[in-house]
Amino acid sequence: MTNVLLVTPAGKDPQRAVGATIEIAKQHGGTLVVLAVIDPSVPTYAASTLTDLAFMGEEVTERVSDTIAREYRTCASTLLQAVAERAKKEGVDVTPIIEQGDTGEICRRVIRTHQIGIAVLVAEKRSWFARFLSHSAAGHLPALSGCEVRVMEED
Amino acid sequence: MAHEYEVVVDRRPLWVILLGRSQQTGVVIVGALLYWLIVSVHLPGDITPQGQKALGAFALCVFYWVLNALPLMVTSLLAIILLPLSGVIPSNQAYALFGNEAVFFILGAFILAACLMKSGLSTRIALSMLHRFGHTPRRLLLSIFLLNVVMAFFMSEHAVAAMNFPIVVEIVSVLGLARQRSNYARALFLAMAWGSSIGGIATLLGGARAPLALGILREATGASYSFLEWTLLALPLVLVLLVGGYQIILRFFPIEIDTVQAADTALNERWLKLGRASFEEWAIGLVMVATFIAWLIGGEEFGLANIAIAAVVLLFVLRVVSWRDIERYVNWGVVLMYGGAIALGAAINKSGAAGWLAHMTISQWASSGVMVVLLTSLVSILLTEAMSHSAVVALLMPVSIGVAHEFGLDARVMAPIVAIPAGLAFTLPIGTPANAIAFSSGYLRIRDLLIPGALLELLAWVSFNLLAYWYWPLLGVHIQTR
Repeated sequence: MTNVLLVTPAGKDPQRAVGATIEIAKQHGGTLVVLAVIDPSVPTYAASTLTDLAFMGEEVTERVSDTIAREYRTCASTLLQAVAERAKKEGVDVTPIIEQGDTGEICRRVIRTHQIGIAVLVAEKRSWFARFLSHSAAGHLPALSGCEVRVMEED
Repeated sequence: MAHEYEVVVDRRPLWVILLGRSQQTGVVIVGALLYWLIVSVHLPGDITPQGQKALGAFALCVFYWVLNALPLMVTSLLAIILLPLSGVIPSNQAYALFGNEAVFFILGAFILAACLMKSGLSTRIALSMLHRFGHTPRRLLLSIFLLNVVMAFFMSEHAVAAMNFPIVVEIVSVLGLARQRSNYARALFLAMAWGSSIGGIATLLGGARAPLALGILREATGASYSFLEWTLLALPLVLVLLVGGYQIILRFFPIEIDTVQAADTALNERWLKLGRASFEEWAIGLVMVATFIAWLIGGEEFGLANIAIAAVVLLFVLRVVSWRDIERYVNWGVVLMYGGAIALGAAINKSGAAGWLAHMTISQWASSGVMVVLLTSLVSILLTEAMSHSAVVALLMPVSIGVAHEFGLDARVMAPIVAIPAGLAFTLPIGTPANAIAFSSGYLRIRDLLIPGALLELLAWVSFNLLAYWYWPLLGVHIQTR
């Protein structure tokens, strides 16, 4: 029995990866752990433009960043609910997790604590230049996680 | 128990990592070298040693503003110390420019906007408009667009976008619209972002760039515009962009839903929860209306800043706002940013550096007054997509005054030619906080802003120049050479 992890950025709807992961979990008879990660830099960026460029006070910036964070959380929760229902129909148990922070760090912790054997990462579509310049969990996790990692592009 | 350590290996090339970590320091050092180079080398043409030092300070600040090497207001502070230390203007003159009327007008406008937000009056106005008119998808979209446009006539466009953002998020959420797939969601966020930018150019309250341009103009020439004059100059462009922007949104994002019943119900519930307007809201609303009328009819006689500050004092007398509230809504960096920018503008104008810079740049490329207007507005509208609106005004306004002298244009005409296009950023998330907020929602992709935004930008630039050529002379503002 092997537990399977699906990691997706919050706010995405990776139907193809969900289907593939449920299939893997079914084949291995393990639990499907679905992890939606909220990138904290998104609400922070919007708030910082209001502080730095628009000279708004903290009440305004907090309102905007809270709204964005809440929206991402709601979106992640809707996705996890849909995955849980779909997996249940296929007879697969699901553990949903929503976390905010660095994807790589959170993944390694979840892989360890849930004894994951196979992890499926949903990679956001980005240009080769963006991939070259920026840090990517999908890029470095396979070598470090201690489990089999498969990367799938978002739909 | 042995402690387990996490090891994270960054697999990017070493030079990329080093570049990323030393980028800011590098920009600061390059800026300092740029300053040293400009004040040390022999420049062609007729420039005084004082002008050369002012030019160095100007180049350094623009460099830092463009590349965000330091927070905008800290760069402004740097300008304030650099000018007296390099002997361009004495310390007492440099610091006195912080007390410029434009700075206090901007401050007063920010405080009044803070009162509108804090009391909940701005939310009440938004909800009352949306729950009354937004019963169909098309009408709801138009209501959001119009709401943002009109509200930005009275308060900072950034505050309008920030305030209406949670309402738009709630609408798309209750309608269950898919992220990055729903045309209607994209249309709503664009209507919010573009609406606030379009409305922000209409009056001196929509953003700080217009008062900043007037502050630099007044310091250099003693001339200015009244509140009403400015509004009359800008309003036709607002109407053109209102129609054009709405059509572009509908063409690029055809509405795919038939009903907004769920949003209607949610807005109605929120509206009912607000209950009756409080004394605080009534008082702030009345003071705001009275202030606006005073700016329109008595702005020249009593001074825009005096009226703004009097309104703020009146709100405290009525005990409808506390200082603690104001502090939570206004970022005091605003005073430093605009005080520093005005001081820098005054220094490069008085030292002759602006004239030299104008002679070396726009004057080389333009052959007539009309060409100057076309080029200046084009540079302004392009720069504002990548840098702060106010930084664009701080960069272009002193140079434009120099260009106006060179071409025999009325320097007064350069304020709207720089400041109005500087508020029109429609294509990139970094262009303006309203775009950044809309993009951060996760419902828009870059290309949703880029292509329709570029079209609106083109429409804005063409319409602006046509209006400047044909309509402004009717108001006594001529872009033709005297």
